[in-house]
Amino acid sequence: MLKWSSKLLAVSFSIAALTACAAPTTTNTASTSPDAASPGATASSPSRLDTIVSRGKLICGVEGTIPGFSFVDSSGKYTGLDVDVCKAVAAAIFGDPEKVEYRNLDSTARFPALASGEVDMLSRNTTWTLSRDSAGGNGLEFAPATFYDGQGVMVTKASGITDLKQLDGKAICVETGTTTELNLATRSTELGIKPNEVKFQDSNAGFAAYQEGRCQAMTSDRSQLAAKRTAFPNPDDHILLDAVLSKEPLGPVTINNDSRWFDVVKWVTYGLMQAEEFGITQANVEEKVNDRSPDVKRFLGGDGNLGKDLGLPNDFMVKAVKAVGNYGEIYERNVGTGSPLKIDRGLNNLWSDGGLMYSPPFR
Amino acid sequence: MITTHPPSSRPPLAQLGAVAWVRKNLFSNWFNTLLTLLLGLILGRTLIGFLTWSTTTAKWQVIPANLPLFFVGRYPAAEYWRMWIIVGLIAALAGLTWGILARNAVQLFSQSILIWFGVAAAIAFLSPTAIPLRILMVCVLVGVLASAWVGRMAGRRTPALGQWLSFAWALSFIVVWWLIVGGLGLPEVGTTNWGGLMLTLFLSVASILICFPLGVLLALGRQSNLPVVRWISIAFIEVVRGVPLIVILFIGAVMVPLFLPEGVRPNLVLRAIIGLTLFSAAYLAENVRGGLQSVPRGQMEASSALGLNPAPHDNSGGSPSSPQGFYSSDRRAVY
Amino acid sequence: MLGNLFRNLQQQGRQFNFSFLQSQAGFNIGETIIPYETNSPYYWAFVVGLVNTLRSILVGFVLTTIVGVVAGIASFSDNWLLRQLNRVYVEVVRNTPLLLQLFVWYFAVFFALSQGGQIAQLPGSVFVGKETGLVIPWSSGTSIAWISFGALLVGAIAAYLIWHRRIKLMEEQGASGQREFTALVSLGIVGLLLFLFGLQWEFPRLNDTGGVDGGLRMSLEYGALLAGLSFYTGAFIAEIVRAGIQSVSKGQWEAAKALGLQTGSSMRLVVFPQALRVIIPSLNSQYMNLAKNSSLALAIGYPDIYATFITTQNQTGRAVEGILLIALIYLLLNLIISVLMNIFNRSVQFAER
Repeated sequence: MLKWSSKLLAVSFSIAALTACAAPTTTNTASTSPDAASPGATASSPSRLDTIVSRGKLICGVEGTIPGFSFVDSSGKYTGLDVDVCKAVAAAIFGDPEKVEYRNLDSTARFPALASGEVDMLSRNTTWTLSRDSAGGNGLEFAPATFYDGQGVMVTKASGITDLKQLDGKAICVETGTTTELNLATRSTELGIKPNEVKFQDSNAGFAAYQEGRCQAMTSDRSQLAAKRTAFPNPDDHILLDAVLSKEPLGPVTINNDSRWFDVVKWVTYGLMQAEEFGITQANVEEKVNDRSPDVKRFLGGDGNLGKDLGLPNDFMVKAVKAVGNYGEIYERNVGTGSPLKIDRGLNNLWSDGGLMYSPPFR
Repeated sequence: MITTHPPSSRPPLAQLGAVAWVRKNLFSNWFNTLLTLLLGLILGRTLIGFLTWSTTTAKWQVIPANLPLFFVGRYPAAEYWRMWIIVGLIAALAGLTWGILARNAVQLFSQSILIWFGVAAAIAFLSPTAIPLRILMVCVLVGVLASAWVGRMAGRRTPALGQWLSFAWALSFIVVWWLIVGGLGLPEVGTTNWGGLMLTLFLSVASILICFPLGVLLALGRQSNLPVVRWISIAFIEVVRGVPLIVILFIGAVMVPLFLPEGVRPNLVLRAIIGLTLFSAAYLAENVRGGLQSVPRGQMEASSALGLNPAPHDNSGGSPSSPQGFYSSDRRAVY
Repeated sequence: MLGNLFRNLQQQGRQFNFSFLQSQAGFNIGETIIPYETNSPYYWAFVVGLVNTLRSILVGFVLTTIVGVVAGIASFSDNWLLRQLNRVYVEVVRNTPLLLQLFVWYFAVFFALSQGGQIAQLPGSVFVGKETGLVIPWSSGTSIAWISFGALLVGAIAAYLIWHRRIKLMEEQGASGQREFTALVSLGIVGLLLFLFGLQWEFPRLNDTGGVDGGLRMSLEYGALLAGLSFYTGAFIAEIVRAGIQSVSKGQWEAAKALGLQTGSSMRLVVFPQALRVIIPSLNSQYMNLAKNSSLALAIGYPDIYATFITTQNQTGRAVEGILLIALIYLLLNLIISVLMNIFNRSVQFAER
């Protein structure tokens, strides 16, 4: 009576042990040969793009709590500029902007989630820096910035603080795991001030602590501060200091060593800017397919095989623009004049209007 | 001769009435009096603080606005009726179980139970939600009582019904699963759209169910006299118990695909169930072990003398020590 | 599994090693008790985080034991109000998530105490302010205070020895123990005097600029973490203590009463020492839980070692190495706790003859 149970136990454990041991040996033999043959990624190497296509949906990591960028409303729908980038990529691949699964990631979980393949791409207020881009650092790939931002500091009007130097010895609330954290450390060293940093894993907890008066100041990207301020009970009691602590180019991110997939994200993002430059909008995109300009025609896939070269349907930009509009439309709808945030376009204008949004030619 | 009645004396104050109760239970000596006053003061201040906060600062309107998000996450609104069927099903089954198990009780609905139900109904009815929702909630509560009564009647007629209860619960788990997931004629709802309280309950029920056999297996493995089995069990239990849950969740939530072949990405809900199951199994295993060890060695020796268990220390189930051990560890598992 | 890991890492062009620990951290840690600079290396940031974790765990052990034992004994109190409140406390705390309780302590309790941005004074010269933190009276740390502290320690050990000797004399020789009793009382008086005046208590007071001077200062985050951990674990300990006391058979109470001991004395001398044998082994896992739960500190802004790991893995992308390091450190901590508790446990168990 007892024998069988102890045998069962032994068998189940040895199976577990066997599978645990067997897995590395098989995968090792499988993996060493292609890696030895081609150290870098080539067009023929497996790409995440294939995984996404066979899965039938895109998994996009977003912040999920910043109004205007990515936000879940009370009906459970995702909206925002970052979300629209996900939708554009999904539309470019599948022709359907709804084939996206969103994952809310806080600032600390985003890179492990991307690196492990938990999400296909991040579209989540992520600052482009060398250490995050390089293989020695986080080993990521940054698509062009979809929002040029700078780090700012928010204080209450009542505090009377107007200058960074006045923050010496004062408490500042920060979200941990961000460039914000590092910039603040660097700027304080430069200015010779020692603010008392209170760091939170969840930006919401940080903002709550700031509103409760735990900190004299809250620092984050200026757009994020402005966005969160709209949700405060008395937004007018809080001001953003003029000082900008850093450059914060925020853009979509994919994993290193997968250039096929990275190119898709990169060129869909550029495509949104190019569409604005061409004057292609959500409303007129379908008639523009037969535009007289060869450039526009090629851009929309009526000519040439730009899309095919990327491994996408040739009319990928038609689908993307049809789904979310061009960059200008996305901007105005989510964070610009059409939204409660009303952030001036400034640096985020097209290059032809004095901004930084500049797409390399589609040809 | 004048007889004077002695003045009829009242019963001593310290034996009857509310005053006596208060004196006995709150002010029996100087120390208790001090304690009562101090506690009363703290309690009063806290209550006043809470009341002022809840009437002035608190913003209750966020609750009704986010109620669906809280209960079912991003589950499609068109499919909410499934959730109500699940709630109804569980309420009916709970009521039936209660009725059948308590079929021989003198009184099914004692005063205190009715009071609790009344309070729950009042809360449900006054809750800041849409009117149909409130009526539904009250209906569910009434449904529990009604099915309890039905269960009692049915249970009295056919006492054998009690044996079918666990079967009914197992069946209901499958039905609930089908209602949540969809398929077989219902539109499918992907796990990414699950959320809120529904997901929490689903995860807890699933992982509690699975962790029991696994925990017992681990506990027996730890006592096994096969060294490999014993060492693996010990290593697993100690590592899982020695690391904070937040670390395990971090690995489970964002790092699992790193340890798997390319492109394999297990379902998140499945992963959460596995993670929680492994975690609770390790804890349960220790409780089971404690239970097994609480059985005096003499019992094992006696059983081996009866020819049940050739190895005194290898009590891998089936021996008399197990039923005793499990009784003792069951009680710990509740904590 | 490991093969998969290395292959996946290799495919992304990343290595697996711990050399990143040597490079400059470049971030600040808000609360430190050992020196830390922005340009200190990562390993030092981990050490600082570990010290912060230990600081919350060790103080937490002391507080939670006090809370747990008091609450456990309170469930046997004659006072109805105390019993009921104690019941509510134990049930509510045991049945709600710790994370939620931490938020309540931080956002609701501590922030509410210092309402309106003012520094509030609580009974007993305790000050609470949102930026100031929690300020409690504390020894001023002069050399006289240290000498008194040493004397107190020596006195405590001496008192313990005398007390043991007295019990032994009373048990074995039936002596009255009057002499030892006098010695104990005089030691107690000296100790009390030393405690009150020798330690040179420094009472915090409001200064002209609206700040608080003197006393021991801790941040609200630390305070909330300590309170949350101590009261959470304390509720579990209370149940263990209650079960332990109940496990002592009624005959022991009756026997103690028959010997003429009062309720308090029979609890202290007869019941509680026996209950300890049941209580101590279960305490082990509660202390381990407290140590592990302290990793939730980051949620309310306290920079413990898990917070250091979170920042580090974000700046360097070394999530695998980091999580390994963290897991090892917590395993080691729990191992130490376990070993110490087992030694302690052995000293209170029956010497079976």
